[in-house]
Formats: sequence, C-alpha cells, structure tokens
Amino acid sequence: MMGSMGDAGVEVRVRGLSHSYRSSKGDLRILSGLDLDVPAGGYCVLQGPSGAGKTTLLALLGGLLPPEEGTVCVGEADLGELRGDGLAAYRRDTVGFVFQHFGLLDTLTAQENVEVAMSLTRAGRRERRARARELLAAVGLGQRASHRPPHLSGGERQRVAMARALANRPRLLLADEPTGNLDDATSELVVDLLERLHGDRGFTLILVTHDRSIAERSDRRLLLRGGRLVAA
Amino acid sequence: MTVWDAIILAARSVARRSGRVALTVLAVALAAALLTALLTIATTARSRVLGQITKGGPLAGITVDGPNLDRGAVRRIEGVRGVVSVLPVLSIQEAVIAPDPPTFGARSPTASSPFPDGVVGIDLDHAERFPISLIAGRLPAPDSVTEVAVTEGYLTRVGLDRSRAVKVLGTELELGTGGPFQALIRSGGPGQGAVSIIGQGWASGRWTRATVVGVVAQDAGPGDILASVRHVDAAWDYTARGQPARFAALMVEARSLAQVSAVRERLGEMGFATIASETLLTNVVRYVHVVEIVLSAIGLIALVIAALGIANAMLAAVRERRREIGVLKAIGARDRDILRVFLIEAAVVGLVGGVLGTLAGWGAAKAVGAVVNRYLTSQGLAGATVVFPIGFVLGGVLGSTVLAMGAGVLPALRASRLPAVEAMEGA
Repeated sequence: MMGSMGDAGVEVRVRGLSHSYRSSKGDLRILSGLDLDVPAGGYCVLQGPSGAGKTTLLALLGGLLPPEEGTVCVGEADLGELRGDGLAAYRRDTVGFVFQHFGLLDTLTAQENVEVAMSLTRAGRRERRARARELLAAVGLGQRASHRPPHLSGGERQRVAMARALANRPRLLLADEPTGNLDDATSELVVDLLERLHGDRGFTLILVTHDRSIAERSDRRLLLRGGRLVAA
Repeated sequence: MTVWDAIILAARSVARRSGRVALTVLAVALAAALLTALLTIATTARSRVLGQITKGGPLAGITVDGPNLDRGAVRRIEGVRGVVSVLPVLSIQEAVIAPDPPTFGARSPTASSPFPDGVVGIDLDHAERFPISLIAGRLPAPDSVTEVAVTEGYLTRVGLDRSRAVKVLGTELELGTGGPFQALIRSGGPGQGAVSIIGQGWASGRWTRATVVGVVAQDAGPGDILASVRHVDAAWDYTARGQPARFAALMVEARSLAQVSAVRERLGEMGFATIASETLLTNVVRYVHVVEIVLSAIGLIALVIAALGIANAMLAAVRERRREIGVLKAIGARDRDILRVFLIEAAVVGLVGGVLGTLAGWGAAKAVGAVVNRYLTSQGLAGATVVFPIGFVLGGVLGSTVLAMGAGVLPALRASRLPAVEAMEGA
C-alpha cells in the first residue's frame, strides 16, 4: 500500500558531530561539533561550497560512515551504537538514498533495480513486483519498467533511483545533489516529484544541492560552513 | 537476500562482463579438458593393459583346472576364505560344420569339411568374470541356444584373419554331437563321413544350428566356440546320459588382488591346480597408478593456474565495482549478501568452464582413441574402448566449481568488506 505507516517521518538529532579524513598531510577536519535537528516529516536543504562536508554529513546520517565524535540519533536509533547487521538493517528499513550518480545497477531493468532493494527485506516475489510497478508508476515510469538504465535518460534514471529509495518505505530520505547531473527542466521535474512524494508520504527529507532556486523551495535552508551548520 | 536473488544478480553481472568472463571460463575449460582427457586416456590405458594381462577377466581372478572339477569342488572352493565367487566353465566336443556354400573367399574350406571343436559354455550373465574379450560383434544372449561366438582359431579354420573378423558375424554354423558325430569327434580331425550321414537324413545324433554373433579372444576353456551354459548342458545331457557334469575349469574370484596368493595357496593345499598372474598384475597396477597420479597432477596444476586466473579477474571486477557494491550496502545489503553474490559468480565461471572442459576433454580422448584404434587395427590387434570415467568427470566438474569458489573467496571477502560509503563517490 502506498503511504503506509512505514512512510511516516522520523526525527533527526545530531549533537557535537565531528569528522576528519586522514591524509598524508595530516588529518583534515570536515565537520566540527555540528548540531542538527530535523523534526519528523521535516524538509531540510543543505548547502555549502564543495568540500564543506555536505556529502559526509549525509553519509553519517545514512549510516554509511561511523560518527567519530558526537551522536547521531535517527528516531530511536543511535547510529554510534549500531554495527554490522544492525547498521545494514537501519540502512535497509529506515533510510532511502538518492545519489547524484543515480547508483543504479546497469545489468538490471528499472523494475529489477527497484525490486533489488526489497529483496534485502525478504519480501515475497509477487509483493516485490507489485510494489515496484506501483512505485515506477508513481514516478511516471510505468511504461519504462523493462528498460535498463543505459537506455533511460538522466531524469528517468533519477526517477528510478527515487522509486528504489522509496521501495522499503523509508522514514528518512537523503538526497545527495539529485539534480547535479540533470538539465534545468529535468531538475525542476525531479524536485517537483521529490517534494510531491514527501508531501504524500510524510518521510523526513534532507536534500543537498548547489542550486539556489531549488534550495529556496524548502521549509528550511542550512549552510555548512567551517564544519558547522548555520541558517542560510 | 535469498540465494535465488543472489544467483540472478551474479548471473547478470557475469553476462555484463561477457568478454572477460569468457576468457576466464576458457582457462577453466582448458584445464578441465586437459584433466578429463588425461584421466580418460589413463583409465583407458589401464583398462587395456590390465585387460591384456587378465584376458578380459577380473583382476583378482584365478583359473582352477584339473580332472576332478564338479559341483562338490565348486562348493568347497566357495567356502575358502577370501573367495568372492566360483563360476564353472563347461566344455564339450562337437562336430562343427561351417556355412555352406563358403562365404569367406577363395581360401575357405568347403562346408563338406566338418571338424571337431570344443564348445565352451559359461554363465554369460557374468561374462566379465571370465577371461574373455570381445574382438567383434557381441556375446551370445545368456540363455540362447541359437547364438554362439567364435575365436580366432575358428577364423583361421574358415580362412579369415582377425582384421576380417566381422565377416563371420551373422553366419550360421551347425553343431553335432552323439551318434554318428562321435567317430569324427574321436578322430580329432576333419572328415567327410558325418556330412554324408546327415545328407542322407537318418542321423540319430543331436544336431543344432547357431548364428555367430561375435568374435572373442577367450582363455576360459578349450575350444573355439563360445556358447551359453544352457547350450552346453543340453549337449552334455544328450551324450553323457545322466552322468554328473564335469567342468573344464572353474573361474574363482578373490576379494582383492592382494588376497589372490593366499587363496591360491589354500586351493593348492586342497589339491587344485591354479593359474593366476597376481605378481605381474600387482606390479602393473602399481605402475599404472603412478602414471595416473602424475597425469592427475598435471591436470590439477592446470586447474590451479585457471583458479589463479579466476582470482585475478574477480579482484579486477571488485575494483571496478566498488561503487556498485557501496550502493548495494547503502540500500541495506549485509556483508554476507555481497560475499554470496561474488562466490556465486566464481562458481558460475567454474561450473560452466568445468562442464565445457569435460565435454571437450572427452571429445579429445575419443579422438586420440580413434587414432590409436586405427593403428592397433592396422597391426592386427583389437582396438581399445575409450573408458569414460564418470566418477572422475563428475569430480572434475564439481572440483572445478569448488576450486573456482575457493579462488573467489579472497575477492569476495574483499568485496564484502568494502565500506558502504563507497556509494558516495568523493565522500
């Protein structure tokens, strides 16, 4: 069912988050004592110059990187406490990712790309197929379900990626420059769709973008500067 | 992720890298082909060499001969420790009349020259336990009284040599015993009398016709005609008129080659004369085994080299697919899900390569067998039947798959341990 309980948003609380990258020239501090609060079902846009740590922050919120210092709590989950399968389960059940590079598997069709996310939940084959069709229809790609990513346009690929991100009814959707590889018209279309889905389903949405016009459409704009967030 | 989902992902990935995968599969296939061909040739050679020494009989076979071989002797020998089976060989002298008119060429004698010859009867249901090897055609049906096989001695009598053995197949010969045939049989040489008696239609002897269905080399008993026990029993009943059967020989099979000496010793103590080649066979088996080990080692080395190729190709694939692996992890795949996908990819390469290689190896062995057989036939020798060692072959396919999975373990582990953040290019 579309818009089930699983889609309801989740609160995000980050306190004193720091993160560094090690290099031959020493540690490079990217985030430094960052705090962030996003209410359940909220919509927040992150901006900042290249290298400011936007993608790193999304990776930390999505459980792709372990927090070095500080706490990252998403709903009841304290990500600093999660390891291995627990972390995989968090990524599978709570988070949906939309990448700038789409992150689709070229060997699978659009439908299979959506289904592969559900295969990790051990959902039944029939249920997977039906939901994948439903999601592809929701992003306007019902007719392209059997096409592989190389045969889809950039905008279509990103919409498939959005359908995949929503496959397991995430409560937090993290979008890392989803329009970075798209032209203006397609970007507009994709963001419209993202906002409509957010409105329909109620998940918490955190979006990273360089595009000022997109940023201005959100409830809340934050700027990452000097390893901390400030209001834009 | 279920195994089936992992198989689909792995299969799609293999299909995408078809060029590289084809090369890797080719390496595995060549190694498996080499292993299969070498093992098939080694097994065929073993079968051929041992078959030559045992004359087609069992490896642990012992021939018992002598004058007092009857049912009682069979029972006593069956009671000897280490004996698996005792099978009697019957033999009876009969008058043999070759086909009329002569069908084998200018050198053939005419049908008016009957000759006495021994008809050897064995249990054809267990023909493999007798020193018999087929040169052409097939063995008579186990219960048939109308089918016989003949030896090279018969071929010589009818003016043929081994290379033209097939010419006798399907021909009919006549066998006579008792009554008017006894004089001929007792004379021990060709004669005219019996035929003239038959021609007059008042012969009171037993007269049968049989079709030649095969040509054999046999050391089971004295005689150039091989028939079923039923055939020889009937002839014996006619001539001996109630006397208990005496056997020409007994074919004793020991439990193993190692036990042949002990069984022979015991039979000697019981007063039986025995013939066996256990010392020669033991040495030959040992040498053949060494050859098999060496050939297997060569094949295995090739498989190991192929496995290194698989490992190399998969490591390259892991490097290329870092982001894809990261994305799978970002959407919730566990380490073991990734491990499973990569191991299945390796197994697919090993399985496909193993099956293709086995088929190619079998074909190569058949081709070598055909060339060898052509040479043997030109030398007037029986050809070798290429033995398909099904156990080795199944083991080869399974081994290729397992070896490929083994080669895939390191790349698969490396893939499974890649951090999920690989999904975020530049993070």
